[in-house]
Parts: sequence; C-alpha cells; structure tokens
Amino acid sequence: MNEKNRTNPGNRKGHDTLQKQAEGRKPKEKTPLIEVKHLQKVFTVGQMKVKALGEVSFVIQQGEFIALQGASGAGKSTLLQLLGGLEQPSSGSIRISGTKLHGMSEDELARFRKENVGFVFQFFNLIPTLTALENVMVSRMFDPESEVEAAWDYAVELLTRMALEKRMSHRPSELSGGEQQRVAIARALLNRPKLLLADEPTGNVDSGSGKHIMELFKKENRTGTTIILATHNSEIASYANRIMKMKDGRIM
Amino acid sequence: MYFNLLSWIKLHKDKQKKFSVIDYIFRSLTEHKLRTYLTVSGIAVCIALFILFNSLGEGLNDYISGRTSSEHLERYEEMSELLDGWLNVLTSVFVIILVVAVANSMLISISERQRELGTLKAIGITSGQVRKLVFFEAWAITGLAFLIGTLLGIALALGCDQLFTSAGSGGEGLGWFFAPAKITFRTIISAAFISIVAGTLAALYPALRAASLKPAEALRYE
Repeated sequence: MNEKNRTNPGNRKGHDTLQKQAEGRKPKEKTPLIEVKHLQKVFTVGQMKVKALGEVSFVIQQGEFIALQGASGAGKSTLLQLLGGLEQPSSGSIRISGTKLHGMSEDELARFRKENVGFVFQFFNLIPTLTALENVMVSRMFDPESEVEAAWDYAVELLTRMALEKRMSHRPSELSGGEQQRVAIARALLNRPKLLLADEPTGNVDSGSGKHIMELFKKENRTGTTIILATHNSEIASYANRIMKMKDGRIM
Repeated sequence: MYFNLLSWIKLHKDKQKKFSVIDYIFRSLTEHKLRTYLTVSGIAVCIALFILFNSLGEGLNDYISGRTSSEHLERYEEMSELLDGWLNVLTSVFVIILVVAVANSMLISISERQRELGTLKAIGITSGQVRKLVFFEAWAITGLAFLIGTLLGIALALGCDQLFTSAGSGGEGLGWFFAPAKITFRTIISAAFISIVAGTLAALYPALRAASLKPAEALRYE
C-alpha cells in the first residue's frame, strides 16, 4: 500500500463530489430501505433439504452500516445473496426501496442490481483479462457511448479515491490482494448504489489492507450508502453501526 | 454499432474513455491465444478449401461449357450436376467442421469462465446480454477466420491456376486439371454466408447455457 496515497486521499475534486453526494442523498428522516419478512431459504442437496435460513424478519433503515456476524455456515452469505436478488427465497418476502424482489424475473433482478445494489466478494471476482479501470467499468459495457464516457470519469475518480490512480491500467494479477479488493469496491460503487453488500471483504487480505478497506466502507457509509457486511471477525464487525449476530440460519 | 472497425481499434487507447463489449471480447480472445489461434486457423483452412474447390469447380464448368458442342450438351449437364453435387457435399462437411470447432471453443470458454459470468450477472449484466457476449465472441472468431481463409483461399486458387496453366502449356492431353480457376464474387459471398451461419449455429447452445447460469451457483464455481 502506498502510504503517501493513503494519507493523501487528496484528490480534492473526488472529495468534493463525495460531500455533494452525501448532501444530496442523506435522508431527512430515516426511511426503511430493506424490509424482510419471514424469509426462509432451503437448499435441496440430493435427497436432503438443508435449511440455510429460517424465518428471518428485520428492517434496515437507509444509511445504516450493518455487520452480519456469525460463524461459517450461519447463513450470512445466503442472506446477502437473497438481499441482492442472486437467490430466490423459498418463502417470505424482501422489499428494497419498496420494490418486492420476490417474483421478479432474472433480467429484472439483474437490472435492479445494476441500479441499486453493489456487491463486494471475498475473492474479489475481478475479470483477469481486464485492467483495473476496465474492471470498474465492466457493468457499463453494453451502455451507449455517451453514458460510458461519463461513467469512465467517475470510475477514474473512484479509483483515485481508492488510492489506485497509478494502478488503473494494471491487470488483477499485477495487483496485491488489498488493491484488488479496492478495485472491486470501486466497481461496486460505479452505479452509485443505494445498497452495498460485502461478503467477507477482508477475508482474503492482510490486516493492514483490511483496516484500509473498512475505512473506505465507513467513508462510503457517511455519504449515505447503506452497507451490509458479512464477517466472522468481531474487530471488522465493530466498524458497523449495528451488529446482527447470526447462528444456524437465524438472527439472534 | 459494435463492429465499427475504427472504434474497435481506438478502444484500446485509454484516452478514448471508451469501454464496450468489443473490448471485453477482444481481451478474452487474446488472453487465450493458443485456443483462439487453433480455432481461427482450423476454420480459416476450411474456408480457404471451400473457396479453392468452388473456384476450381467454377473454372471447370466454364472450361467445359466453352468447349461443348450441342450434341454433347446433355453429357456436359450431367457432369456439371455431378460437380455441383460434390461441391455441395464438401460445403456441408466444411459447415459441420466449422460449427463443431466454434461450438467446442465456445463451450470450453464458457465452462472456464463460469465464475466470471456469475460475477457479470451479479453486477447487473442480463441473461440477454450474456447471450450477446457469446454470439459476438463466436462471430469475432468466424469473422477473423473468414478474412484469413478468404485471403488464403484466393492465394491457393491463384497458385493452382498458375501451376496448372504452366503445366498445361505443353498440350491439352492431361484433361480437366487444366481448367483455369475462376474466383467469383458469389464464392466469396457464399463463404461469408457460411461463416455467419456456422458462427450463429455454433454459438446457439453455448449462449443458452451461459445465459441460463444462476449467478449464485456460478459464483460458487471453483
């Protein structure tokens, strides 16, 4: 990690945009962004039915920073995937910004994700053939040229904010774990999502990079982005405003 | 829009602030160079042979028709039909080879990139767009193979023509091999048509398979 870049997130322009974004997006009063009711997810493995999530209900307000904390197999990842519309629930309902996810088609869900949800994965899931900047831009590759140009400027701004301005033309294999995860965060933020879902985002990076990543999440949360982060690490969970402990597919 | 050659070249300059599906496909194809080269060269050879045989066939047809008197017209027509029949068989064989080669390449590419496709879907790429990616990749392979194959086919036809013409300058006793090759616009268009059809047919199943991937399952893929 380049210390100079870290201490000088410097890009004044990026910082100002961040502030403006925060002012524009911060709600006057807390409104529920996510409403989950009696959510259940059962996987069928051969003849067996495995209950990954059982009867979960909760509300998350806009602008919250939530940590889903629990051991491996507690149902954190399944819950994140359900909230992001990557999985369909077996029963129950999820509403995000008033939109009911249940019953939406695959393509409707994909469009919903593009406009509303950013994903950060434990193993980064960057596309190895693309540069850091192209990885950030990848969700816009089918967009018209005029929109791509505007998104390009924002992608550059995001990577600068992540202290990666000198690594934009590097491929993932040429980046450290921490740098790859910051590229993945920039990719997740490109479409200015209301909701950022992060599944063990520090699980595959060293502790220094982990702290830096958590600071970035904290900063992003201050702009009004709702963040839900799954972790088994209580130190990482302590960055959140609210901790939801999970065990055996239930919220404790 | 996607196949504008100039923008395709320009896309690789960061200053252009452009990133499109063409860029993504280009990077994907150049990353797996060996597979791309093998597939493209295999298809190019098929297209080259198609152009060669058709050019020789057209030349032979012309040669025979120019020398056939009215009493031999029926025999000429029989020969011509026989020749067309063989050319059709050859064309079918080439199309099958093309479809199998491209489909195989696309299926390998998709199974290697399951996690990548899952990621794309997770960040908002729709199933229809994933289908487009596969079709564009198949068309890029067959398009490139068509260009190389056409140049190779024309070179082979001209080479054969040169060879047979000079060999036959001593006399005409060696029969139909002295018919000059005739490269027609129709042959080139047919080759282009075959490339597009074969590319489309070959991409059908891989595209449907890629589009039907469930993002959560694809993301779990090791």
